[in-house]
Amino acid sequence: MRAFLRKLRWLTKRSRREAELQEELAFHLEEEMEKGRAAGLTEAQARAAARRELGNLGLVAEDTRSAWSWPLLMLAESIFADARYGARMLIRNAKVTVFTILALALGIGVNASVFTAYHALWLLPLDARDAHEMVNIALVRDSGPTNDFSYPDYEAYRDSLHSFSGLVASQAMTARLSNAGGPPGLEASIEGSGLGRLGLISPRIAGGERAQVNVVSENYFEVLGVTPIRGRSFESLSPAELQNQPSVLISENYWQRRFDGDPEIIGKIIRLNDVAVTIIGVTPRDFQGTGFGAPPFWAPISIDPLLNRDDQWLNQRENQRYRLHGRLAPGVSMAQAQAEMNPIANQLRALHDPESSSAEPAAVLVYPGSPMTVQPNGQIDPLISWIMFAAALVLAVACANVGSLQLARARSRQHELSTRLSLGVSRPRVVRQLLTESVLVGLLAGVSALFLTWAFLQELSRQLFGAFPLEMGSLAFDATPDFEIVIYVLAVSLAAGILAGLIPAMESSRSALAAIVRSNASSRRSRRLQDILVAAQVSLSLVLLIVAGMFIRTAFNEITLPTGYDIENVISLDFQFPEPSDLDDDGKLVVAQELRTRLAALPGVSAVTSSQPPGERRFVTAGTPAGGRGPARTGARRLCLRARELL
Amino acid sequence: MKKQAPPRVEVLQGTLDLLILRTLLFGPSHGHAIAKHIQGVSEELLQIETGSLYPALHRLEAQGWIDASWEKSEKGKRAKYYRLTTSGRKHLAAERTKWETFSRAMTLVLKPSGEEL
Repeated sequence: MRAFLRKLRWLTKRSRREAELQEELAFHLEEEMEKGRAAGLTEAQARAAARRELGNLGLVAEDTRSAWSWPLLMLAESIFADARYGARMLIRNAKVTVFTILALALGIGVNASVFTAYHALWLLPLDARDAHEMVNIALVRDSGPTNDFSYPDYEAYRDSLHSFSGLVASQAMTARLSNAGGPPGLEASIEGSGLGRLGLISPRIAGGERAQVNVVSENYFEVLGVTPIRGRSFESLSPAELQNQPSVLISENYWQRRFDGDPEIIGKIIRLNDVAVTIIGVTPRDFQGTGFGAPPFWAPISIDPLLNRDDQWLNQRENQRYRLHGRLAPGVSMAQAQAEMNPIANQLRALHDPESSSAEPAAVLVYPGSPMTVQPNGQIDPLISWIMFAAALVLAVACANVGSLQLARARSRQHELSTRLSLGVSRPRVVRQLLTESVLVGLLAGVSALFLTWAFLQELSRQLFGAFPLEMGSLAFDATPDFEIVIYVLAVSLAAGILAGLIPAMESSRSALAAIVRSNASSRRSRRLQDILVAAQVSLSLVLLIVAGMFIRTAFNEITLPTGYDIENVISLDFQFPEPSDLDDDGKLVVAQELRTRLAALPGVSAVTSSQPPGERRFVTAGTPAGGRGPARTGARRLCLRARELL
Repeated sequence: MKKQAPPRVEVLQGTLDLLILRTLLFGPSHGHAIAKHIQGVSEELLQIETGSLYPALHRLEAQGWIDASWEKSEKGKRAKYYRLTTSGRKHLAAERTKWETFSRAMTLVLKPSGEEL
């Protein structure tokens, strides 16, 4: 402790102590010279002898100084000094520095973007108040995990569990939207969207205006702790009221995009799958609940039988469509909730069809709330690890690039390095100094990468926002870097700085050492090293290119996967009846058949068929132009057979 | 560039402190004189490197075993004089016992009794 205070005192009067140290050493030199003179040496000889005896004065002073400091402080001081010197060198070579920083920033930025996106999508918590209390519930059977439950099972869990302060059920469906008024603008919306422009969604398959509806249990908004920004939510209505007047909530996003923020939206009656529903509230902007993205509509589970035209929809135990999310009661752990649920799951199992997989033994799995369904092994999606690998490769290429640049530059700095080495600076110390410089570059690149990433993801999320057509809802994506991402980027840039700087630093300090001995050191070794770096860079880039190419090919192959039908020369036509229509179902069928007959009679059409996709109220009619040859005709015939089956 | 000099012994790691403290037992002295004294007493067998003398002096000072003050040397120049403190004296005694034990042990091992040289 006393020693600590003494050291502290020394450090506070540092400049005076420094002067004293110099004086002390000068005195020693003087005494030594005196000795020489006494031995009969000339003044010059005495001075030379004394200097020889004293050795490297700077080194002695530095070693002595270190007696007064702490190793860590010394290290920090020398790093700071190196960084300051490095910064001066970087400013002197501004052009090279800017290029280096940009190259590294690009590499780091790609990594940071992937990490941020992974973070924002895969590790996304549920969109709820106190999201850490929210959990997902899954059943793990021998045949695999499932997140889907039937309504009767949901009711049984909801009414008997004490581990949760609330349990909600939800499912997403696509409903046909009508009576919404205004220009649907659907085709424009699809063609204008990113996926539409890429040709991934064809406007022709849309067939009337549709919208995603998240069907949720009536307690959904209460349990998630979200209140509508306008109107009210389902909790405020009794079951009888909900039954008499089917109601839905609209998302702020859809309200703005589809209805232009119509101030009269509350109370508006629209039709979803022909069911007249009243909009009673607007959910907050980007509110995603337990799913991905903000859907256009939220409907209470009680109208699900109406939307699906099935009275028994909610009573069938095998109709397992709902995902369950719970809010843990205060002080209850996930393991406790799991333990409470298991016996109930066992009882419910007995009620299921003994032939179905639902009757298999199953263990309840309660895990932190996430919009993702359960992963079979709880592992990271292989796709993500591939993308991360590719991003790491990009960084490696950038590092190799910067590394060879540094190597070339260090060679031009050989004079400076040999001077330092001759002055008694050890080689590890020179390596450290060069390394500090490249770490400095790495960190600067990291900071730039952080901004680049942020800007890039902002733009990407804007693009994503427009990538999905209106009916699919809005994907909300928060690209603002959080603490974890900043730490990640700093760690990556530190590693990149070391990676890019280590080999050049080792090599150039070695060749500088050689240069002291041989005034003209042929640095064949370092040139070869540079060749290796360039070779590594090229091969890494090649691997990257091939992998990227394979990714794209695979993706396109999946889109154009052959379905077994010959669809060449087949023209499809969608139509639907206006809602409400004066025709009953049989009447519509007559109209559809009439249309088919007339189409078939058209010159140039060789065959016509029509079908109605199951569960929907629209007709798809396909025709084959007469110009079509054999295979096309076969295709049409196949389609026709298929259509007959469906009808 | 070897000088003609009596064969020198490197000062063992850690023993320089002991030598300095022992030298200061005779009274305050400056760095140069300490080095010369050790050399003289050891019949020039021990050569003290300036490169390790001053770091050692400052380390001892930081530990509080020696004190320093600026005084006039015999030739009238300002010099930094070191003197032993009370805790330095205690430390010296402890280190000395340690060294003597060590050196006795070394001797016993190297020259076992009964062995004739």
